[in-house]
Amino acid sequence: MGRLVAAGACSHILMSPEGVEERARGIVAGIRELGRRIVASKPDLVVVVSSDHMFNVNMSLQAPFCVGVADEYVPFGDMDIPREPRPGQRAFAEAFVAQAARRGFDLAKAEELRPDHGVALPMMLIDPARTLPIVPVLININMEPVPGPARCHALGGVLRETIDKLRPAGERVAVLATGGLSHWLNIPRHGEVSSAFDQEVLGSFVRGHPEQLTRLTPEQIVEQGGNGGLEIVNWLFMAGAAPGWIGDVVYYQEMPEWFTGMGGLELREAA
Amino acid sequence: MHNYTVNRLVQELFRQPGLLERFRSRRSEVYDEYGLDPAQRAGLDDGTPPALTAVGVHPILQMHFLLASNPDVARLITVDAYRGDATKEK
Repeated sequence: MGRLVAAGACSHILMSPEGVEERARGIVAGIRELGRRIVASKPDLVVVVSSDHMFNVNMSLQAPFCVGVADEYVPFGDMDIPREPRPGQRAFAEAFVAQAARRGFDLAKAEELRPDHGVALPMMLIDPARTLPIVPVLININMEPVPGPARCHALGGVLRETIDKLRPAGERVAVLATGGLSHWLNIPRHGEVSSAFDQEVLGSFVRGHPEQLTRLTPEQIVEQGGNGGLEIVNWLFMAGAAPGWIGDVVYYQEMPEWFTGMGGLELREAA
Repeated sequence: MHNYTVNRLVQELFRQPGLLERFRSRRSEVYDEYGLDPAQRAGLDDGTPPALTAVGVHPILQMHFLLASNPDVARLITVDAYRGDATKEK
């Protein structure tokens, strides 16, 4: 059996540091610190769960969940992220998709995924040498109906089951959720940030009680954290793979200049 | 006309080779190609989030459109300033 060796989450955007240099440096340092911890856990692969920003999964075909099963990924290149390839982990991805099907989740598979900033930006900072294989998992928060918080959390449990029961002995897996925190993007309240929502979300995860967030409806999340706040379903997927884990907030910054709250955390198995 | 017509155009801007360049240089021709109605053309020509919302452009695709059509937005939303962070020694 394999083993989950690291779990974390972080926001997945950066904008121009002009005028916000100190906070921007703090955010980059926070993502790099989270990355240092993940790399220190010596994972054989990282499952990166994010939303796609309609560069891959758009209105032409709207899948609630999509898993990259390819041997290699070249970033889409949005936000000028270098189009430099990163290895995939096909066998793991296929095992996860198969286990999910046994548990009532029919996941879309992608051979030609071109990760956008949701996956590529954090990994650019966390693993600049591009040696860590990734398995991208995309949760589609841009469709109606949005995959619900409880269902995303449950799917994370299937990921853990895959690691624990189906993977080779000694395989070490990290899971990284990306996205959030609060942001209202091109809807009423555009540009607002809710530090109250952000702190509640961060606290729920690091105290090991994400289940309170699974009781929210997507509409309640949008009300409290904006349409971009829906990306916490990615974090719930991560926490579903790490039940009972607790942790610490690695960084948090309100960034109204970037129209979003930015945060990151690490979870560890409770002693 | 259903708003998928206009969303279809926007979601292809960064995906279909050559479309972005044609959109920038011969916008009307691209509108014809995608079958946009007068209201949708006016919405994209206005190009502001309220105008894009009015013709049903998805909030995320509004960002695609702004990145394609507004150099100030493209200069704001880029990792260019952080590439050194990505490449320096850990």
